[in-house]
Amino acid sequence: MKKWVLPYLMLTPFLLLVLLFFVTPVVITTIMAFTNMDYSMEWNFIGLQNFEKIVSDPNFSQIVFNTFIYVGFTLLINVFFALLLALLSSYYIPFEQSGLFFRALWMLPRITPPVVYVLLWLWIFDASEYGLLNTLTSFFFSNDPIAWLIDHPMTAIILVNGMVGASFGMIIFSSAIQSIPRDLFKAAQVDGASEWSVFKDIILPSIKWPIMFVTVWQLLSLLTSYEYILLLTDGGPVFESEVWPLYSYHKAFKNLEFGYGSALSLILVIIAILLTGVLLKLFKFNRMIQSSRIE
Amino acid sequence: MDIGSNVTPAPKMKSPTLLRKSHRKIIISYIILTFLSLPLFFMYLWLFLSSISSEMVAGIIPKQITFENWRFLWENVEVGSRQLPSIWLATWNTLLLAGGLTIIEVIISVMAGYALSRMEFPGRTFFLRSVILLHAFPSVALLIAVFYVLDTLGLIDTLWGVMLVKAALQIPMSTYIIKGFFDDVPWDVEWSALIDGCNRIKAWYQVVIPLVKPGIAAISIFSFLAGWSEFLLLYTFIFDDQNITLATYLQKIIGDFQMVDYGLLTAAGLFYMLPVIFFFIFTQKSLMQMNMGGNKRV
Amino acid sequence: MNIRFEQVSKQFSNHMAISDLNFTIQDGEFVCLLGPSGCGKTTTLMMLAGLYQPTKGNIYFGDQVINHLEPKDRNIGMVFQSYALYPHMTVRDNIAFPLKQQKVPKKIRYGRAEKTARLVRLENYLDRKPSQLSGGQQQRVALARALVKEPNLLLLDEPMSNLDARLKIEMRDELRQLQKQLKITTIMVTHDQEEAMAMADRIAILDRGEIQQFDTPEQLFAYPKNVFVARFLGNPPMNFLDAEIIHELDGMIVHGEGYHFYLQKQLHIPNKTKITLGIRPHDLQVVSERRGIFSAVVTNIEHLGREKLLSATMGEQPIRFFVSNDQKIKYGDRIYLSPNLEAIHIFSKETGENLLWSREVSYEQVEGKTGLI
Repeated sequence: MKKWVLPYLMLTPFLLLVLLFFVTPVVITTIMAFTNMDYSMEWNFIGLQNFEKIVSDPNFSQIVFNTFIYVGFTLLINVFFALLLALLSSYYIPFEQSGLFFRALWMLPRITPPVVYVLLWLWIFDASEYGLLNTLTSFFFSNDPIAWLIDHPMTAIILVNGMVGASFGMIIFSSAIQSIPRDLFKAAQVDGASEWSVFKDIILPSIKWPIMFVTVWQLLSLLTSYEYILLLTDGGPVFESEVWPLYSYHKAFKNLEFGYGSALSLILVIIAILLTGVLLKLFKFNRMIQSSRIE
Repeated sequence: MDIGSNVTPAPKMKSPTLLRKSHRKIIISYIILTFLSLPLFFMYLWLFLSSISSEMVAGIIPKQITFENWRFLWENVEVGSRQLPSIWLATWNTLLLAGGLTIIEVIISVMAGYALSRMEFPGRTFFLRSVILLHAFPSVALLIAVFYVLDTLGLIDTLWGVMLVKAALQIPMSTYIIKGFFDDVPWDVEWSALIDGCNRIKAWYQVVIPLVKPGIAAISIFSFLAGWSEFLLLYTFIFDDQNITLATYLQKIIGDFQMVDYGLLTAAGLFYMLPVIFFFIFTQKSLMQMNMGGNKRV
Repeated sequence: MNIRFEQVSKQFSNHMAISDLNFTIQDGEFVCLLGPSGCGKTTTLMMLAGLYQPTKGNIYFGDQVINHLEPKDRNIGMVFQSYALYPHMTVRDNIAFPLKQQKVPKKIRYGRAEKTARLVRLENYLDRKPSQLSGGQQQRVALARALVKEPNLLLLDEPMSNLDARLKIEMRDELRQLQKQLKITTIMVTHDQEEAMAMADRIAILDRGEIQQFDTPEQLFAYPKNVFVARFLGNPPMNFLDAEIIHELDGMIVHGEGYHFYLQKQLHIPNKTKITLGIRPHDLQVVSERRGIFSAVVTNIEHLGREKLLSATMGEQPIRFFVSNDQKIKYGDRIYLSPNLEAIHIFSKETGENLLWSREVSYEQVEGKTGLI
């Protein structure tokens, strides 16, 4: 009995924070979803009205559509572009240093504070001839400046998020590729394997799991994150780049409809929990548990 | 770490002859990668150039060098009709937030990581499972309820509140990372310490903790940068200008879409990014191994 | 301080690592726990160290039951296979570490650390970090760290398995001398029978969590209690041949494929019992065809310097033996062998037990010989 005290003691601060900011919020979100709480912060239970409101919301179809487009295309960039970067920088370029350089470069968007990163894109998309894209289009096609963020908001948010997310997959794929024994490639060369067969028979099997993992992981985070969209277009113009989680955020913190916002969140939370379950299955969980060897 | 015999590290594989690829393929790979990376390169180049020029030609070529953009360092900037608080207040607050977060996060996750890695207690498997689950859990979906919790605790509009929330969001990951480091400490060494007369706690901080210093350094840098870069929580839970941070400071300048002062913005942005650049240059290798997602061993 | 195991069992969640262990180790004795991996020898050591606790039974240090005593309170020293040095401390601090835990003042503990370092000839390396030492030196640091607090019991967990062959032999001597000089009760775990034979006063041979035989090296070698012990000790290992026993007047005939011989001994076993015949390679001699009992064809010749080790086959069964260098035997030759009938072993095919040297005999001999060393 006595020896249990110590580990629990060491876990207490962790558990406290988790209880306060994970467990309680999940419970509160669930309860709040059935109220029409607003700025007065009163718990008025209204049954399923919030969920009926979601379905009949005039913006419902656009937001669902946007969410699908956004998540789908960003995910494609996050996985395939990441795979391309990983292959180029850790397999096709045999020099470790330069591979590392390119990977480091692609890490920049991820470690740049979101506000600064979005600022860089604001310049690229700037509506005047000062913006990079407009400079290029006027130089090559002598087009008039385009207000990119107003005309193509979805493309913009997909690009911005895609470039941030690509580094995640890139790092994971790279380390998977690098962990393939070099002898395998040499053996394949001796056996006269084609480039395609090296990819298909040696590289692909070793990154199959990482790809699955990255896909589900990024799906999970894309479904619920909106920081960059908030900063770049704030869902606008009107609702053209508004996605589900951002809509929930706007409802709660802009319109102060906490109850309705919670209902929108709750649906995301449920989807997220299901996806997390899938992730745990992919993770080969038991391998990570090692038992104590002191009694 | 290597406690056994002195192993000389295997020579780094540099020679391309080991992996005989035709030069053409390597060159094409370089060209593709460089081409793909160009936008990135220009983005950060612009950030620097714009911060020191008064006007730019074709968006990126400086016309005249000026330090006027950096005026926020010695005076309070006005945006539209509003005067912003001093940048130094924002810097101090950001430092406070990042520093406090680092201390909280490191202490909590080192304790929890050790318990989960090395100790036997009922519910251990459950806790481990939840750490991984929480690590993956998209916490931003809970922001509304967190707002309510903070409000109840009276921590709305305080840096403390944001610090605690951010710490809660981060500890599953840093605990998981540091647990991996603890897993790698040989049992023999810990056993030795116990036999040499330590109890569990003493063995922990005299012998085991020194061995996971690289891990502690990693999560420290990691949480510092996370605190330094934080935007959403500050934007949502902080209203008072007294609690302004660099992220919200910058966001306030961006705020007015119509009249963007790129010079001022990029200078302030660069100022804000300095510690990030610093850490990036000196620690990028270990950061890369950390995977940013924290899954050290997928 | 003597050490006693009384009905000790250790169960892990899914398997029994040790079952019903009983033995006593005398004060000042050097005992080896010898066995293949997974035989429970390390588990036994861990229980002695206090890192594992027995599921059943009692372990005594002297008269005291120490089952639940914390490792730090046992006054033991231990050397691990990996040496387990503290990589962030200098050699001096590593050696002084146990004293630091006892709150010995800095000056005194460094003095004692240096004295112990001299004992293992490390006095010139005190300011180095473990990573700057060779494997042998690291091992000495580990030894010094284990000895510095003058423990009642020294535990060694395969301490020499990471050393190269030459250094191993050197360290064996040194360790053995040190142990005798300090008169410290020592228990060493190893899977290397040569090492155990060279160093131990007594060896406990373990298999599947049970002690097979606990005896002096000479006894174990001459009177193995069963096939397992016989097979485990001796290099090259004992030859084993299938045979059966046919009773005769005043003795018996050992009858195998292609050979038979008369033995003037009687065993209380049924006629035609299947047995395993065991003969050590040194107990076989090449003789003329007329006097030969076994006939075999040479398949391999190894030159060992002083003599040659020959492998041969008798029909299907392999057999190995030594010959002197002047014997001109070539690959493929047919040769005839005769065993030293005083030194052969007969094991029950069914239980593996030694039928010739029965339990009673070997125990009496042990008691007489070991007593106190």
